[in-house]
Amino acid sequence: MFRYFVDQLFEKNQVLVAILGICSVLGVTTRLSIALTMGLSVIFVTGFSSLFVSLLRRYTPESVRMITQLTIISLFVITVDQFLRAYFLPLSKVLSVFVGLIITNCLVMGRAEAMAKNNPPLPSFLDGIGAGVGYAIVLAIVGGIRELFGFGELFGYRVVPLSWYATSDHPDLYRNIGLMYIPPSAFFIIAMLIWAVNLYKARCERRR
Amino acid sequence: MGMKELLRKSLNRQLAATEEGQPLARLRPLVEALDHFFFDPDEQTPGPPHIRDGVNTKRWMTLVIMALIPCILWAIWNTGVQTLVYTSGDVSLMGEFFASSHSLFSYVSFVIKEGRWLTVLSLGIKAFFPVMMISYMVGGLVEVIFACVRRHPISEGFLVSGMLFALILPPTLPYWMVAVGIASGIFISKELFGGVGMNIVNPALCCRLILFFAFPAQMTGDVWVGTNPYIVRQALVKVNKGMPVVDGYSQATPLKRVNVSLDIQRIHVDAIATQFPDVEEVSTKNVLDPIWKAWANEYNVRESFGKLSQKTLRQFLITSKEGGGLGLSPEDYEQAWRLAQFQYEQGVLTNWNFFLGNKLGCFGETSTLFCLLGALFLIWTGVGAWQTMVAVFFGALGTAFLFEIPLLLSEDCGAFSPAIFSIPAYKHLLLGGLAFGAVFMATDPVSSPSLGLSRWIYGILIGCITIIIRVANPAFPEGAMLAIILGNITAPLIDHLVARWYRRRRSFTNYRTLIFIALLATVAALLLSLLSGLLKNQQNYARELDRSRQLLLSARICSPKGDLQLYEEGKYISAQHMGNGLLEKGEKRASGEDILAVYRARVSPFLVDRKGRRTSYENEGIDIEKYLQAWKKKECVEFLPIFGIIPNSGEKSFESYVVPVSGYGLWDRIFGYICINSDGKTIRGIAWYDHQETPGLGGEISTYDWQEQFSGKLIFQPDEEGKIDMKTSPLGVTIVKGRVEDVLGDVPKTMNAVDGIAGATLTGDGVMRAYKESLEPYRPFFENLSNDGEQ
Repeated sequence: MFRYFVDQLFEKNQVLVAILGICSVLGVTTRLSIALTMGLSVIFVTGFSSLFVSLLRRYTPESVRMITQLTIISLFVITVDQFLRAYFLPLSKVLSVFVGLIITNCLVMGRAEAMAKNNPPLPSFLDGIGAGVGYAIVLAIVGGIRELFGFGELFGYRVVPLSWYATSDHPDLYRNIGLMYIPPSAFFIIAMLIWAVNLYKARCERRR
Repeated sequence: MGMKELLRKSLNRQLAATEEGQPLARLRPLVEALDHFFFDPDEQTPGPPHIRDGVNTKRWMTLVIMALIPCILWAIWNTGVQTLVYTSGDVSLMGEFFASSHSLFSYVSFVIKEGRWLTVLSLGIKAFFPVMMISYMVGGLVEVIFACVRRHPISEGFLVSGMLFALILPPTLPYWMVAVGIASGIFISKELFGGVGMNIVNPALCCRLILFFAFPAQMTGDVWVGTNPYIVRQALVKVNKGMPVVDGYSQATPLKRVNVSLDIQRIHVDAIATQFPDVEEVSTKNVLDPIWKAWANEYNVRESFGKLSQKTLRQFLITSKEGGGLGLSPEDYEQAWRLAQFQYEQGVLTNWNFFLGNKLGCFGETSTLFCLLGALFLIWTGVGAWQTMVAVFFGALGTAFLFEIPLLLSEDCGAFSPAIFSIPAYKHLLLGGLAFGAVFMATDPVSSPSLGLSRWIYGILIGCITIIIRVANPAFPEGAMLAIILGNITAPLIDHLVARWYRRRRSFTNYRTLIFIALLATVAALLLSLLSGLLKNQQNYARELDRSRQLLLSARICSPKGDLQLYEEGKYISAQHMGNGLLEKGEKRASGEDILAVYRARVSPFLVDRKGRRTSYENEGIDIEKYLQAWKKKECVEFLPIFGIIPNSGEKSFESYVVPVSGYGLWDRIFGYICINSDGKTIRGIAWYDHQETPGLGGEISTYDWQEQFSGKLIFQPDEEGKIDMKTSPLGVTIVKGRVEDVLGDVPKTMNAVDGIAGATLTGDGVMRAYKESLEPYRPFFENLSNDGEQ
């Protein structure tokens, strides 16, 4: 039973293996703290939406199943959004539209379609939580890399000493990599991660 | 002969030692490369590009390098010449160079004189060779590592990519950036995709693209000569000493001159150009003359149009359109001047110089002439696709012409349309990297399409996008690189233009589905309204608290971490709430209740009318909450809301005033506060509390690090002597692109300017406009404040 959860973390990681949920990875990974908040929200949404889609699976007409899934997902997304607004307003302001956009995150929909629609509630729930955690891990890695090279900080604390930076007298010294704070850099980082994962998997395959 | 046999023997031994299964098998690609370097390989090439005749990859690459030779030589030469002139700091040398650039003959005699050509050559070699060597060595290393790991042969293709990359770099780039660029670019564009012949985009361009987005300031900045930008800047400052800014020598590349804001209109440029001694008539003369006459009458100016002083001309241009002037914003004046110089071929900016390549720019791309020589060679040998090259030129020409058409057709010659549109189409072909890109980059056989027709479409697409980026996107000066990359990506698509239509699935509805949907919708609606009911109070409280906190932050009563603070002996120290709304020294964390209590005790909202007189909400019978809401929506205009800050001592007079500001950011409206000291001029602090800007980019306006630099700045822009006239000085805060000291240097204007946010130019512009528009109605009030202070 627990396998449903563990599989999602690495073996079937939604971002790295299924290449889903990329859009939000581009948007919210400029800083580690933002990435983690987003990760937590997605864990909540995937877990509970999978659970409820699975509970309703026998009663949902085939022709409107997408709309049903979307309704359930959006219910939980709105809950998260409203909750953040009430209790964590500053964080919610930073995340802005991206929380609302979890609705369109293919990862959530993908789990509902591929797993929850056809499986009993508990496995679906574990699977959803696992998918969310796998997503959060990737988000944290990308966010960490981007914050480190784009701002020289981690969690808002300075890591790269200011004395390394170029000034107008020494224009050839270190600079923050501007590429890192624009969204395309997340693409490159994810591509590298996927590459590394594929290499690793191919190697495991060969050993076997 | 003996030598050759010896070599063959030694290579055979090495080949045998690195065969599959031998311990040194991983090094086989290295030995093979050595073998192929000396002897023609006898096996067939396994991967693309496949060429239909007997030319193999090696010969093919050699031909491209040969076609590049004119460009390489010119790169060395021109870099040398420009470095010599621009780093000298010698006014007479610069003048002589500018004067001699009018014809080929005088240009040649300028460089021959006093053996300058020797210095030029050595300077050029000094600038170009290190870059080329780094490109070859670092890129080669990546190539060799991957060849060994993946066990594929080392390809000669890299000789071309490495050279192309070196040729499209600005000479001022630090060496470590060259290394980073070539290593990451080759890795991402080529090796990750499986090596030679597998790349989707051109490797050299990909390297440049990465540098372009990673270090935008170094790749598109102003300084493009010599190897050390600092020296060049010093030299220019020395030369320009005592000259008005716009008249001085500038290090802007021709392309950078064209990269101006769309707010600069054709009539502005023409008005400036009329003052150049050698310009006889401008095309918008019919529109310009009446405006000038009316303006001169109104302001009683006697000077004759065509010989205006700098000051009068500037005044005429920046007077608003309602005031009878041309309505150019003062920040754009310099740019407009540079564009006028470019468009009316002042100094070295002639077509002939652009064609020959006597201009600033990346190493190899300056000369259209030598690119054309290379193109002829490539076409003659059948290596480059002529369709692509021709199509790029036509695509660019056509698109640039499309921008021009409305100007030609309209009655006033498009006097009030953006000036960039009026740049003649053919000039675009002589600028920047278009020619070099079209000839050497777009024709790369791996990443470009292979069918005749698709080459035409591909080329036209590239030309078209290049011009659109150049003309319509003020953020990027050059579009050739981005256009070619985009073309590369779409190339396979163009080659397989097969459209597939899916039959739409028809879903048919039945009774049960309807019921299910109705139930689902009802339950969802009920749940949501329950949720919003439960959280409403908490949300309102959080919003209220956040707004109060941000207002206090702008007034520097709140610290950036959300705690309270006191101002004592020139610095801020942490404080705690005493219970009556006032503060004392202390470390206790402030709760939400504390913040609200302090807000109630120390912030006193009141109103100001259009003449700057104070009045209160009670006097006017206005409900404060409703009025602030309406003000946010811009529904009321009569009274201006403002907040007075009562000092911690509890005195009655206000220590500062907070003004709400709003405007449009990149995505949506933005709301904030600006706190102004009781002198009515200096900023105490600012805050932006409600915005939808991109997190990490424009969203940085709500970070304290950025907001901090506002404190102590002026809200009025001082004139060149540093004086402020509260009636006429422009109100607002200037946000420069980059760092203030880099952009403006040391002028009084810096008192009114702050650093921009990298990668968020449009947000910066929005913020600037928000301050300008929000503060303007308060001008009489600030004037009164300042008068009170003086009495």
